[in-house]
Amino acid sequence: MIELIDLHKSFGTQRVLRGVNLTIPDGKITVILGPSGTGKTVLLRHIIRLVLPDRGTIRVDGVEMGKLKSQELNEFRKRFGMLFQQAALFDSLTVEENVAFPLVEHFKERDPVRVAATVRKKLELVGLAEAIHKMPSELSGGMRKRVGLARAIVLEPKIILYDEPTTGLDPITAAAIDNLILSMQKTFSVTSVIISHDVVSAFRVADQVAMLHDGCIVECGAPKDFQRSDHPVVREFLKAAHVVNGEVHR
Amino acid sequence: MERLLRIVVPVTGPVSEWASGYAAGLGSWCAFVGEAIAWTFRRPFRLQIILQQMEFVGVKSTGIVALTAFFTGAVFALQAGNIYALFNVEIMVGATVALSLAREMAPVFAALMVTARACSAMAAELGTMRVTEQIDALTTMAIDPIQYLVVPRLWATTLMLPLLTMVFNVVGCIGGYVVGIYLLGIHDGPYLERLYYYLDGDDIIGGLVKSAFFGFAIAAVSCYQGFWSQGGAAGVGRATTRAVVISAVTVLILDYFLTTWILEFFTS
Ligand SMILES: Nc1ncnc2c1ncn2[C@@H]1O[C@H](COP(=O)(O)OP(=O)(O)OP(=O)(O)O)[C@@H](O)[C@H]1O
Ligand SMILES: [Mg+2]
Repeated sequence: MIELIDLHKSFGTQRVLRGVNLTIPDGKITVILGPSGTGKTVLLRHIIRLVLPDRGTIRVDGVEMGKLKSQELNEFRKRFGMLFQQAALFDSLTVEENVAFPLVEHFKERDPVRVAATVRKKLELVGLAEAIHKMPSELSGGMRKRVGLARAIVLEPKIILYDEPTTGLDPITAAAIDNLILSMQKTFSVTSVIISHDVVSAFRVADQVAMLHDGCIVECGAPKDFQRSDHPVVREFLKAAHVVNGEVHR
Repeated sequence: MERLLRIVVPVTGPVSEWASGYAAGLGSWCAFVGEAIAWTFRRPFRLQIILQQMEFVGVKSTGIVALTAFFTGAVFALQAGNIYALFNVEIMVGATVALSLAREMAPVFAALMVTARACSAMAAELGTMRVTEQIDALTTMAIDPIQYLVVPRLWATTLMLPLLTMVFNVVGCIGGYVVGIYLLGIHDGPYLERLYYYLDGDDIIGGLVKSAFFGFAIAAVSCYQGFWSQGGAAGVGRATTRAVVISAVTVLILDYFLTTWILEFFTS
């Protein structure tokens, strides 16, 4: 379980997070929606302590992230996988080396043949087996994101943080990625936190949907309840996405 | 009191702001270096990356260092030869060139060449990794970026700069010899005899010790600048510029203090 309690974060004079409270249950998929620039990425980066909050606590499985020392923190981070919004691939390594990187660096797998097999399997899951020998600079944005996804799941972590996994993908690939996220949750009971703009896909995969607005979580609940919310911002967001009662209307 | 403050604050305000900013920068640099030293002794030891960096910093800089060394020695011999001819002591040219190379010119020039060639690249590479979130990605994979990126660069430069300085010494002396013997027509017997007589092992060792400190300093400065760069491509550019300028200035200032220390140490 991930608990975010009263998180505050400012950059200069801009107050991005103003008291975020959110509980993310184990083995479930939580989707965080919100307009562009509200601080969704900032929130996600807090969970894995890439940024420290000005105020507030983050507890993962009961452990307070802010209190860990650097080596304990590194041990703890092995439970996480993270997909960055811009993928953040290592541009001096090939696609294959990028995906193999966590495996090799943590000495999980010493046998190069088995590493190659695992890498190929993960790349097939994201539909990129043919790009295995390319450099990141030779990939499209959507391909890069899928390589980032393969890298995030290669160690089969318990908690995966996705920053807009399907943005910039065509509907078919997006649906395939949604299914991948779902199947990971089913088979390994992964805890997933997904940031998304895509309301339709959010309702397809989520067990819990939360809405970040003006630095606070303004609505949080199961997809059904979320859709019935009468918070004006949520209503507006859903209306703009043409979602009424879980159906897309145009 | 209030009126006094109103007069004083506009003057002292910017100065104290600058000073506190400078002190904060120095403090975080020290913390950065301290962390790099601490991570040096923690597992896992990434020998392969250190070797790669040693190749990048050392082996690949040998050509440019040798080239500058040859011409530095050559021009120095030329100038010294012309001046010494006034006093009829041309045979001292070899000793002069070798001594000044060993004590000052080789460590400083090699450090400046490595700053220009390797440390600027370090700052640019780490800076790009920072702004494209690759350093954050390392962090989320539970790999400490200071251990993975900074430690190898720091020690590779510290180890390789003395070797490059030695290359500089040798090639510089060859440059001086070529000019002295073939251009100025100095007899090579006395030339070499004076050189051997005046050049001590201590001179060379002192220079090498200095260059190890230079190597550590320039790598620490450049990695720090790159590691904490921000603000996109322009920010990386600024970080690289700062890395080169601060490294070069650091070498020259550090040189003075190290020299006083080394003179003290080796003469007492
Ligand atoms: N390192 C930073 N320094 C200064 N301001 C920042 C920093 N990171 C984020 N911000 C600010 O915080 C706000 C939220 O940024 P964030 O990246 O979290 O938005 P987001 O919700 O992920 O948007 P999008 O959906 O477009 O990705 C932005 O207004 C941004 O200007
Ligand atoms: Mg974002």
